[in-house]
Parts: sequence; C-alpha cells; structure tokens
Amino acid sequence: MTLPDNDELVALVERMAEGDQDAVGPLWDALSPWVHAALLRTVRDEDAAEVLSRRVLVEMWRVAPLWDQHVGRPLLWSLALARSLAVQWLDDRRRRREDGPATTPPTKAERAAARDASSIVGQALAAMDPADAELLEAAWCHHPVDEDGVRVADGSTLDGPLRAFAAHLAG
Amino acid sequence: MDRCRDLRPLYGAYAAEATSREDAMRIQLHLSDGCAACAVEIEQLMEAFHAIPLGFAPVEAPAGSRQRLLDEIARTPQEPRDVPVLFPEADRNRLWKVLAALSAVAVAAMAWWGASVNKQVARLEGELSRAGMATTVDTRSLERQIAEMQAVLSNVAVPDARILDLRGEAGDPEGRLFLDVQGGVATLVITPLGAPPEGQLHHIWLLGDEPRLLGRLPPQVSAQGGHIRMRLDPAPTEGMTALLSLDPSEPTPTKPGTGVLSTPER
Repeated sequence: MTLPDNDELVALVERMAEGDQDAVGPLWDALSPWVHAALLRTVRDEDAAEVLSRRVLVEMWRVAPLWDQHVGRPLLWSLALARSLAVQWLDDRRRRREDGPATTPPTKAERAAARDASSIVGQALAAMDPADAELLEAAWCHHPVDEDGVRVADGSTLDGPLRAFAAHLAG
Repeated sequence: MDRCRDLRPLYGAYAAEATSREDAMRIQLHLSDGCAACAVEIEQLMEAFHAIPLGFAPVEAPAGSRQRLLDEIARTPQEPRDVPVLFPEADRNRLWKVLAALSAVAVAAMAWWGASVNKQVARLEGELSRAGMATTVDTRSLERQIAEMQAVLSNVAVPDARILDLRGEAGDPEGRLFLDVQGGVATLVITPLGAPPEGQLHHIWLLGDEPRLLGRLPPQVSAQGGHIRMRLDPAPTEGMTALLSLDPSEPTPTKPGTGVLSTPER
C-alpha cells in the first residue's frame, strides 16, 4: 500500500476547515490504515484502537478551522494525534490499575510482523542499527521493547538515533 | 548561541516528549525567544519521530468504523478560527503553531476543566444533601477531572512561585496568577468570566513601577475558564499586583482595584 498523496490530504483538510463533512470519509480512507496500525501497535487492544482511530479523525475535524498547511503534513499530524491519544489511554488505564496481559510488550516475532520493509520509512529503519531502530519504535509506542530488549528509560538516549533516522529519511 | 549548544542534545527527547518538565520548559522558553534555527531543527526531529509508524505495515480498521465516524462527525461542532495565543510575542514562530495543533486535545481539556469541576462538585453536593449517601455521581468523571486538576497543579507548583489572587467586584476569588520567577513563566488559572464583547479581549497586567502586559486571554478561556501560560520577562519586583481588564477600549490600567478582576489592595 502506498502512502497517500500529501496534496490530496491537504485539499481534504482544507475542505474540512470550511465545514465540509463530505471530506471526512475520503480522509478516513486515506489515513486510517496507518493510524489504526500505529494505534494497534501502541495500545494492543483491537476495540480501543478502533475507538481511538475515530477520535483522531474527530479531533482533526474539530480543529480543522485552526489548521494551517504550513504546520506540517496531515498524515504526520494524524499520527501525532494518535500517539497523544494512545499515551493518554495507556496512562488512564495504568491509573485505574486495570493493566492486564494486553499491556505486555510485543514479542520479537510480533514486532517483525508489524514492520513494512517495503515502505520508505521501513527501509530507513532497516538501514539503522537494529537496537536504535527498536529504541525509536519503542519510544513512539510508549513501552519497553521486550524483556531482553531495549528499554526507554532515559530520553537522552533518543537524540542520536532520532537524528540518524531523520538523516536516513532525508536521503 | 550558548543556550542553543546547551539545549541541542535534548531536542531528540523533546521531539519524542521524553524530556523532564523542566527541560521542556527551558526549550520552550528558548524557542519563544525566536531562535529560528532551533525551531527548524526541532520541527524536523518531530516530523521524523512521528513518521516512525509509517514503517509499520498498514492495517485496515474494522468494517463499520467509517460509518460510526461519519455519525460522530455529524454531532461534533468545530472550533472557531480564533487561535489561542499563549505566548503572543512568539506567534510568528511556526513551531508554536505545530505545538498548538498537536496539543489541541490537552488545551481543550484544560479549558473545560474549570467549569466542569465546579458543576460536578455542585451536583455532588446537591445529590448528597438530597439523598444522603445514595448518590449516583459519576465518580469516574470526577476522577478524570481531579487528574486534570493535578496536571494544572504540577504546572504551577514550583518552588518560590509567587501567587496573586484575582477577585471580582464582589470580592469573590475568580482567578489566580502563579509567577514562576526562576522559570520565567506566569500561569493564569481562571474561572469562566463570560465571552468578551465583540472586538475585545481580556488582558492580564502586572502593576508595579509601570504597567506590564503579560498576555491576552483567548476568548474560549474567557468564556469557559481554564489556564494559560505566559512569558515572565523580566522578573517582577516585590509588591506587584495583577489586574485583568478589557482592552483595547480601556486606557492602560495604572492602579489596582480597577478592571474586571484585580488583586485586592493591601
């Protein structure tokens, strides 16, 4: 599956900014496969991922009149919102002490299956030191990688890998 | 430049929201000084960070999600075009717009907090008095609001913070201004005042040797209550008071006791 065209996404968000509800469906079609995958990976709960995926689009709709295309690409905006909502959801659940087996980190096999090596971003991650790539994925998903893997205990360890990843993406 | 060099190793963690609150505030204050180079660098790191999930294989959402979304959209009003300005002088900075968009959920929640906690408490008191312990109060909702209250408190509970109460004409407390002198940040927490008249905004002033404008309240905050943070530079002198007025129609305030809200005269 190829990434959606940014110009088309911008046009849809601009229509939403004008109050056009008909723009929401096509935007959902374009964004939800990535938003839903990211949320599944983060909250590891099918129902919650579905609810949060919709909340991402509702939030985009709600604040669309404030959106300015110079603030960034809609796809990244949706993923940033997805992460914010997922972290909030995980924190709420932790606070209610309802943590159960579903919050255990993914296994190495699950992590491998969730990657898309054919995508540009997947290739950029694959080109990095595997430990650094896992650190970044874990940082985004707000959980330790696994029992014998990297743990995101210190934010200062992120700077180098993230800069390296940004450089890979830039080509 | 020294500040850029000192803060730069933290930018990766900042882009991933993994810095301490203190480091995040240091970076935000640096950006609000208008350092375009650091703003661009952080923006690039934020873009890279949020691109990470594009390396995951896409997954279709369950059937029926799309229609449920469209039903929800039909019931959801949109924000007005007024952009909340927390650091007015830094609004030219593109990064702040990014941050404002990303934190829209949090901003909305905090603006709602002031009014809804009061309503919940009033409802709780009413129900308790009418029905003794047989109450149906939504304790989960209250728990969430208390958690949000704690978030506000952690924002303003800094050592050496100066606190200025703001009262209305009747003398009732309507707001509180926390001055974090060391961090260079002023935080205003306020109850709902009502929407300002067309073309006007509530302005918050510090009154000392000469009046100093701290910032303007977004209309949504005036109407619904909430909190805003503003830069506090230079540090206030002892004995300052605060005042909230409607501008620009009013002249610059010069003494306490005037305006919509003000610190009581001592």
